Amino acid sequence: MNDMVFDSKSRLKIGRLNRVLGDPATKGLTLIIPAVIFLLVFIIFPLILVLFLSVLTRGNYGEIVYRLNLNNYLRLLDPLYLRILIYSAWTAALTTIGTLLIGYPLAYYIARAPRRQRSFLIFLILIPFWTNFLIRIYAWIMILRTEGLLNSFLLAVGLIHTPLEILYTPLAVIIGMVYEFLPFMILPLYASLEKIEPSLFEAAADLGARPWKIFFRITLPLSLPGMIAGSILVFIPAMGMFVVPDLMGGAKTLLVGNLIKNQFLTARDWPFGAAASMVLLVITLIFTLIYTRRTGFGEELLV
Amino acid sequence: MADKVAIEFRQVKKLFGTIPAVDGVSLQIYEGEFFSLLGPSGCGKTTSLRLIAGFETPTGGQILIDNQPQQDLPPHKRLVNTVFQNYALFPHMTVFQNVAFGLEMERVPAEMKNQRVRTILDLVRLPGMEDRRPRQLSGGQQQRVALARALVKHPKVLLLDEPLGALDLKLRKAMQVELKTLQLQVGITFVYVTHDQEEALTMSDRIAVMNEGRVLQVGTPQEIYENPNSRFVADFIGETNFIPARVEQTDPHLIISTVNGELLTAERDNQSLQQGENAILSIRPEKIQLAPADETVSFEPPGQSRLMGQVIQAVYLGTDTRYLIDLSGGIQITARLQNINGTETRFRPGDAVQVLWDAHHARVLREESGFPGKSIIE
Repeated sequence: MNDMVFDSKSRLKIGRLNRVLGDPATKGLTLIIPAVIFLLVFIIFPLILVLFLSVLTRGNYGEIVYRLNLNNYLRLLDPLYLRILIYSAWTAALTTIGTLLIGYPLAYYIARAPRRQRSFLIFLILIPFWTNFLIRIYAWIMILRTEGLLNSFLLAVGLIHTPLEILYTPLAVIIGMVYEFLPFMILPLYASLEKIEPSLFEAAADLGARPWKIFFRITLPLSLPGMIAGSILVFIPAMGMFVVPDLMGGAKTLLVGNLIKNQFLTARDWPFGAAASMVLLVITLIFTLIYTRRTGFGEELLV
Repeated sequence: MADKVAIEFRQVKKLFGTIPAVDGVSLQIYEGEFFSLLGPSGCGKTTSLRLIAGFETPTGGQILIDNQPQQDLPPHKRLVNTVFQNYALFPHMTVFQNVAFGLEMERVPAEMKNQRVRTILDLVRLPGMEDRRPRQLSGGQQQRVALARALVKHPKVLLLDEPLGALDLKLRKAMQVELKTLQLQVGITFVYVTHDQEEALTMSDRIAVMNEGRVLQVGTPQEIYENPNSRFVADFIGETNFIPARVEQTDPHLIISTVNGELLTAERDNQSLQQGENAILSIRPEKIQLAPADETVSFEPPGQSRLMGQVIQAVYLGTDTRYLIDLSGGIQITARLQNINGTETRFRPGDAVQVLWDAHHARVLREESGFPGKSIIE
């Protein structure tokens, strides 16, 4: 009896809501309002601001002059800046490949570990990332510098006789970035590897596949969604990274991230920095689109 | 049927930790046979199948396929193929690619490969589905792809692990008939794992009933149903009544007394029952005849057995009527009487009846430990 009263009441409420919202299309639009507001405030509006800034001019004292022009973008066509852009993309690509090469075996190992150990192993991957970003970078500096841990060890063992010059080279930047972004590769890879039914491996073996065939015909294609997701998660932030090249690359390595940071903080040329940001955004978008198109972003992710 | 042995188990043991999953199984499966491993979950039937496929290695004993010991052979080198319980189709491949996978591993030339795939897809009645992905298929169609994928390899033996478990009842019935027809068509030995006794009876040439890692009985469906060698087998296959009994005499007839003191003769089974031993009598509901208590019936021991009882419940089931009868010792048994003329509903609850059966239909079985001594209905 009570149930019925409650039922008809709630039905009434839903009825009223339906009348307020009107037809299904209006209802749909109403429901996405929170998401739209979020996107407007945190993404669309800042983006428009940066876009607007990028077509203004720097005044003599670093102030912003409201004179609309495209000079900032034309300046970026200078071979100097083009080289920085290309070099940034190259570094980001190497970082992505590095995380993939190190992350795949790790993710594979964790995904095949006994169920109880898996969350613990993932936990171990994440522990270093509880400390501050800068502290981790300085730890790497301690390891890589001329009198650092690595060189002292290699010298003591007798493998080398003169210290290796790793710190303040492009290699150091790659090492730092690979380390920094490794979890972003491991986690999606682990998620897609863990999802593969173990019976598929048995089925493949049953049908005559040797272990390496099983890997290339079953494991690798089925982990493709994780590889794509991981690559995007690493490549995009790697393109804009400026802390690692600053601290580990010395003054020698300039990435587009450093360029933008310098324009805003050192050179006080906000419009030019904004223009570089827009270009970075567009290039990253293009790379991501090409990558996902070629590897089939849509269907494989649903497997 | 050819008597050539396709698969042989010699004292096979498999321990998981300290728990025996398969506990000293010896079996011979003949070529061209539809052989079922039947038992409740956890009885070791799937483990036995996985031992044949090579996914598990035996802790002890030997498995021979085609008279060759398989000890260290990995799955990809064995002459058997498996149809998995959840089909295990490769989700990123089309139907064609799934079926062709095994042939590609054998490096079968492209032309022959294509032809064999098409032939087998025709055989399992899946033409025109080559380019679909597994998830675009119904459960029954996925089942056929799994069958085709294994059969295309022309295995010596096809292993099937509860392949119909995920299908609905109607489709399962249809697939049972189809599987049996397919097996006769291709002439390959099928080893079929199931917990469904009806399925095993329908399809098998021979059945091995398993429980707790051991094979209790191997035989044709008829042997297993009509002549179970243990209480477990009698109970697991079909419906039966158990009546507690004591062995009074073993020679020349086996004479037993039931709890209410009535003496019955029964056919001797090949169990070495001792005088004075507690036993159980198993009688199938459809073997029982009923007569009104006051009617004179032709009752001739030792060939026939009779107990007195009272009808508790009569349920009309169309093809037959099921009676629940209380025997005087507080034991209830079920009898199923066929409705041949359609006018046979003669007994009502409360009626006193004579419960009659031919002695050769009853089985006297050793009382096993771990089973409650109650009659099990349904």
